Amino acid sequence: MTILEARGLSAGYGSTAVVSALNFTLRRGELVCLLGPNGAGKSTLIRTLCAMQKPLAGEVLLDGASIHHLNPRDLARKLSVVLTERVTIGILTAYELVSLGRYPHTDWTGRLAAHDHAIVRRSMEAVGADALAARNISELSDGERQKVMLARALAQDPSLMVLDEITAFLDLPRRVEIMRILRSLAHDYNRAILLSTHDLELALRTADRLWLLPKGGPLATGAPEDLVLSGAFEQAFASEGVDFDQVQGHFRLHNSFHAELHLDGDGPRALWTARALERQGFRVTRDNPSLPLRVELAEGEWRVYRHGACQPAATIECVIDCLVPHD
Amino acid sequence: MSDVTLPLPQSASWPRPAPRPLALLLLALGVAIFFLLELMIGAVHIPLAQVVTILTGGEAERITWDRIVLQFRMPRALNAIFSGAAIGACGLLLQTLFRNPLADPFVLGVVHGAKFGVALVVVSAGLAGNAFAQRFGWIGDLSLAMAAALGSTFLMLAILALSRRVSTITILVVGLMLGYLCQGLISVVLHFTDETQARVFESWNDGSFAGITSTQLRILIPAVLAGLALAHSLVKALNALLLGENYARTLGLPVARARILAFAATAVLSGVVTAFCGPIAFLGIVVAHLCRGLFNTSDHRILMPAVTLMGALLALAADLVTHLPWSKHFLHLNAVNGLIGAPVVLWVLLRSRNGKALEL
Repeated sequence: MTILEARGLSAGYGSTAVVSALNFTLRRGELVCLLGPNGAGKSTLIRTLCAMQKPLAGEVLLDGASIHHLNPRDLARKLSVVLTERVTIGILTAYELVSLGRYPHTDWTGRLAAHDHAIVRRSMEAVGADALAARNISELSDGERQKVMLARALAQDPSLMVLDEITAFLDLPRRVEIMRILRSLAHDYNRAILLSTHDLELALRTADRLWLLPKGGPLATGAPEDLVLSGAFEQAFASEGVDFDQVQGHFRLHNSFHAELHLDGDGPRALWTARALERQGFRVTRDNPSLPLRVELAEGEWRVYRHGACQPAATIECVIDCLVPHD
Repeated sequence: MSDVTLPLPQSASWPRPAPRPLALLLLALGVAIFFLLELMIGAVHIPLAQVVTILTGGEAERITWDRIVLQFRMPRALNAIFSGAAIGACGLLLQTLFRNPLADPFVLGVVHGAKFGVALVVVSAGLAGNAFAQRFGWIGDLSLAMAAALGSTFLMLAILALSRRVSTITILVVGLMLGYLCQGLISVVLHFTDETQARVFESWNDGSFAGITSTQLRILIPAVLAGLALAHSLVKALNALLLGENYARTLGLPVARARILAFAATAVLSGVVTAFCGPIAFLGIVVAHLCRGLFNTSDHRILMPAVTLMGALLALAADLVTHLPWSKHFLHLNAVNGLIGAPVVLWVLLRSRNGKALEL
């Protein structure tokens, strides 16, 4: 079921359109990641989709109604937002903060009925923040805080959640955890979730669909895998000195190799050794043992052969030191 | 959660943000006690039983006591209660509006804006103080209050315009400078009036709850009640504003409207109090922090009634100190406020680790 639809949408500031003539839809129960290089207009698009700014042209329909004409309360019942900005309020427990999510549903005093309390609790459980309930917001780590903000957005009971780079401050395990939560919110709770992120690899693995916004280019939408195979993904992020590895599904630095080297061995040690060598500008081959430069994996150590001379190395760092002498 | 229904969590560990009616009741009791003390204590001591008799319409043992309680001490006590409540609410409103824990009508210079408004009226009438009151009666008082409210509004708008560019601490300096600017303008304006009137105006500069007339009380009390009602009607909006304007908007709050209403409440409360009592220092900031500390929450549903009661309580207490019978000298109200207020401000400043992450 379509929740959000954009028709000929142009967004920007003043008379300058940052993105123009966009048409897209968002369905219930899907997690969509909005990706794009810096300056492509992701934030502008997000702000426009949340009715934080007016579109330059076209319209955005939420459940069939134009969001820029909905009154704030009705909009808040259908759309909740989590932003990058940190909330620095003092003396409020996580539970009280999540309770604020019931804002568009309560009377003028903001008093929560039993039904509201139940939703607050379910929301906190859904994102795994129930253990934080009694904690003060100012004591929480960034990851915990974002979980609580997510629970608050969920407590609003919206059909669509828009999340603007909410994983930006988090370390990798926390980012993976948040993505897992988002998937479950979208699939198990049948919400539509739009997440703008810079985390390309994580988005490729978790999103149901991607919205790719290249600089100045049209928005490309589709399953992550289709966008990778069609080359749209690589194109959107095309940049000097960076290559997209279609096989591995990640970006890597573009190397200019200055020497060729044979690597003997296999397993994770060989993989990481190869990565280190490539970083240092060696083209690593596995099938040319006659090369003057060779690295061999032995029990507990590495052996570096340079023009016949053999040197043992205890770590990869030592291997590099042997091959690339530092003055 | 219309689509998926989960079983209700059974654990009893969920915190329920309970209102604190008992603590609020204790505060109200404190106000009542200090109100009675204010009526009893002074140059002439009047026993509690006599005060109660007088209040309940009976006759006191001495006829002078009747007059002292009803004509001198009662207006002063009522003034302290309502002005204190108003300033307490103003402190909380401004702190949330500017997201600044050091905001209060005095610190931000809002009272100086009010003073400037009053100075303009006084000068254009050519009379200040009692002479002004006698000449123009309640219309004069009303115009003073309105001028003060307008002056407060202009100052707040100026701070609001500047606040978007500066940090939490800098805004206090901005308030300080705008306050000085107003004081300078007041001096310039007073230059155009005669010396006696200028001196009368200057004496009003020391905030005091004494000397309020019954006409002024008849303006002050309804204005404060209206301002407080407005402030209390905004508790939900103020809670949303704790998250910042952007989040408040996504929660469904019409931010612009809420801000205008909160500014209106602040202008009325701060204006009318400054018009009749002069600038009252530090009370707002002290009251708000005391209440946050006592009630351990930033929830305005609890804080707003708390600051109202606490403001009244502290104002009565501070006023009581200024006219204790055994004090050799006459202490100014703002001297007492400064003795309590300045350490509180310093404590708030030093408590924040980097001087920037000030918390509400």
